[in-house]
Amino acid sequence: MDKNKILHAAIVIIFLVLSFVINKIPDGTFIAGGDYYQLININDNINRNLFTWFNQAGQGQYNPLVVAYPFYLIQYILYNSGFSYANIANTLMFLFFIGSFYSFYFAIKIINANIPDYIRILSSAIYAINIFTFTVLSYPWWITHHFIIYLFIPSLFAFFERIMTRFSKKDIASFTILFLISTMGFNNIAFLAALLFLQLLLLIAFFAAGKINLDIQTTKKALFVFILQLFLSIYFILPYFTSQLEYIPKITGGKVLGDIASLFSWTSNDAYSILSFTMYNDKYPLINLYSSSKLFIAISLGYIIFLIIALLSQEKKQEKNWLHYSIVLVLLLFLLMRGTVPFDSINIFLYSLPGFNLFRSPDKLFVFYPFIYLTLLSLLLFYSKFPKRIISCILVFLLVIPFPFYVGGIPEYLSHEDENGYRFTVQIPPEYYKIESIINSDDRQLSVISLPYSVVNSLNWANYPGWHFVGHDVLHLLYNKSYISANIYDHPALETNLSFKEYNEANNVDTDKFLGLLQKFNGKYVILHKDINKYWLDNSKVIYTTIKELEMKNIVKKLDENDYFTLYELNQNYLVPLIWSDKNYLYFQKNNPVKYNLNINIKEKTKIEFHQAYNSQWKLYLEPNPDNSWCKPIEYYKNTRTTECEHAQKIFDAGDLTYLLEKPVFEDTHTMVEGYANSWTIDPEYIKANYPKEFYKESRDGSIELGMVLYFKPQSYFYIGLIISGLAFIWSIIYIVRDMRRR
Amino acid sequence: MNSLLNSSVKNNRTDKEPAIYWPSSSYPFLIALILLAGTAVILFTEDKKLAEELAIYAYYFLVVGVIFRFIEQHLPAPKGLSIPDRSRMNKWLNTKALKAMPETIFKIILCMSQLILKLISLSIRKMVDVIKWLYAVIPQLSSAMIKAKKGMSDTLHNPLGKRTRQSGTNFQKAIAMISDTSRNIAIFLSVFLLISLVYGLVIDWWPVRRYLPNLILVIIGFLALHIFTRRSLTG
Repeated sequence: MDKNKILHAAIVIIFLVLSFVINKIPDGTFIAGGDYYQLININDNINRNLFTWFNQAGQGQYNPLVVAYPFYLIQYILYNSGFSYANIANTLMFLFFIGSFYSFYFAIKIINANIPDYIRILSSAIYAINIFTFTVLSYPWWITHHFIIYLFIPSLFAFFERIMTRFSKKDIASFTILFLISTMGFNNIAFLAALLFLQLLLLIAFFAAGKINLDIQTTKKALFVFILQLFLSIYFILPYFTSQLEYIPKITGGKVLGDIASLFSWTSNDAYSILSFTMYNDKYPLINLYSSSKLFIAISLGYIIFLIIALLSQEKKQEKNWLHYSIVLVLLLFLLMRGTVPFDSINIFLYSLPGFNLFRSPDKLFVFYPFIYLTLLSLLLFYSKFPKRIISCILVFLLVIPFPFYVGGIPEYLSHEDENGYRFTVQIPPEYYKIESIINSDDRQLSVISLPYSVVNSLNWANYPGWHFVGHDVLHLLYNKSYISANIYDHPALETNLSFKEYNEANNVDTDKFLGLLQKFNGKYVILHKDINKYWLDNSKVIYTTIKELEMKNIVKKLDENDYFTLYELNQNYLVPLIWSDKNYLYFQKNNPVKYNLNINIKEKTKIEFHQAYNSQWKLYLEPNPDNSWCKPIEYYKNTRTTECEHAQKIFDAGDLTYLLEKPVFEDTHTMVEGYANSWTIDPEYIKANYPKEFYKESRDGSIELGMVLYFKPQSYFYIGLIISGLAFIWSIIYIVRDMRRR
Repeated sequence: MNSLLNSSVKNNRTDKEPAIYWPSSSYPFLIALILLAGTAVILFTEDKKLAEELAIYAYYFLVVGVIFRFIEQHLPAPKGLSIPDRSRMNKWLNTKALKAMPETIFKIILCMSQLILKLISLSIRKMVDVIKWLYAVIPQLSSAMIKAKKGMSDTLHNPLGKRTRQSGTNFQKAIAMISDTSRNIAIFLSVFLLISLVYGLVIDWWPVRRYLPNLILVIIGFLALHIFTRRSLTG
């Protein structure tokens, strides 16, 4: 049998052993913490990533995860194949190892075809197993979409380099396919910006180092590649930017400098840590669960030490083959120093520049560091005067530096409790699952309100020390209602108010005001936690007292009580629907998170309120032949004269593309109300004056019936982008297949 | 595809003794290596502050090494010299002019590395100090240049005149390149300054105001370097 096949089979087996045996995630655990969490109830939660609007926070916000849908589809397939959450985690770990290994393995061959196999294999193994990847795998990042980009970085750069040097149609077709697949890693637009920025940096380094001549032809090629990438990204760039119109001035126009300085103060790392691949100072090797010896921190400097040794051991003048990567590496290292003195002042300025502030959190640029480093190291070792055995020893040593990989470090670090008792492998108490049957028993678009305000670490996060959890509240994954957390701003993106915090701070029991807050967020259920930080248990007495009083007045009713929380239900008479008009009969039907059908009877100017976070891209479109025959009522809200109709559950409607061209109505009256929600003023006279009669039905009393669609327009940008990207993908596949046949 | 177990020699390398390739840029790399080794040792003994300082200096030297390697790549190779040819190289090394060269080059490199290090570490906040320091360094650099020129003119009269003249020409070329590079950088930065001024006038002064004085200072620095090197070339 071919030795290479044996070797590659051995690599697959090693990664399998590392993932499923040595670093096996214990059964029954669920990985969550910080901003990242595994999906629960995968079948129920998979479709949410098909839409550009979602309810991670109950008020809703733009959903950047539309690009990551294929990743969650893999989880969906695994789940329905009988994999437990722990097994899914292990499989994703294996895919991470194998994906990053082969990505680098093929990339380095494209970058320099002469590099011998033993350097390629060992360097690729280091790309999969290093301190940075250990940081990724010992935090809930890897279980989510966040670092998928790491798998594609080598191939993207390699093809970029190839196109810049060779430029054939086949390369462009391959690059197009690769780039489109890799877009699942661009859930955060900053990763795309970072990729383009570093490609530009590499290109400048190419010119500077004389690898490529700077002429018109090369400039055209470069321009083509950058435009191509932006063009292929159109399906997520376009909806992203249109949905962020309100948010962008907030980033660029505010006190960003101060924000960056404070962000740097707690996210910057020591220079020696950065040189040894350590992104955060609370990760390995700075935090070592196996030994208190500082030897491991010192050994981690081996990465940079051997790079310099390789620099010093060049056989002859071969700079043109590697100098460009060394230029990029030193520049990247400078940027990675962030708030580290003495780089702080320049970096604070740089990171405050419009556009560059996308890279504020360290992961955005750090994720490229292993690739740049390892490409440079591979090239330097190849051109060094070291014999094969020395090179092998160096690479094996670098492979061993993150030793926790080989002793079960991933589950060990994930389940390690920090000083406050939090960890990343948690078990959601069964009591929360128990109330699923109560809350999920109907489809009404109402909400579950999680109280009281209990922020300890970071705004938007929940702290449940009772079950060792801190991070974005994962309980929203259990319920089919909007989940409003008191710890999240009323408007999650515009960061307006924290209503429940303000009520608590006022320290005054006011049942009317509190009821108003519940209604403002369409509250149906209230989860009053007991498993929060003790400080907030002691300092939220006013909330507990208010709810007791509401209970005494029969406004809320206790449904369940246990050690973790008390569940209350708001009396039917006080419910406020998701969409309502204060004076008129209104029918609404949810098609999906981005589309609602409305039918309303109006006689005079009236307001329609839509209780999702304000976004100028929520548009009202007038429909011809108004009719409410589609409505199968599931609830009539007496106090607002609103009828909620059975949901249509439509995932895609080809007619949605027409909203790209159709003119919305009452755009100028679209405003923010209640500190977060959308409102429009509907004027019947305007309709009568400007639209033909087929668009309204007039009654004898002068009132008119209107049919409207409430639509989140970025969804149609997403569709049109998908069509464009899909065509590019199909063209590339056809070209490559034809090219292969020709050969 | 070669296998890992394949023992073939890489990169067409033969079993001959490895050739010498030790350009000047290797010195900053060597210093960076020593500093990093020191960092590792000091980290082991828990003096994190000192280790951090050493790591930062190691990074500086890495940067300096890369810059020098970049300059070296663009320098013309000495004519008639094939680096791997040891016999010719030894002859070349024995010339009087070349013996005098390392010291001069070293002084210049030292001055320039100091200049770069100072600029990086003190750049933004202590620009006034840098100007004072520049005033002190420029005469040093000037005297090093004068010595270098003197050494070159001396070597014109020695018996190995032809070859040393070649070396002296190369050195002058290097100075000319530094002069041209500094001029080009000054021009480039001036264009950037102009764009910044337009940006400030039309859109927003706030980001421009933060770096404008320093940018002007850096342009003046490069212009000074250009004028100084130009003058030392023309005599």
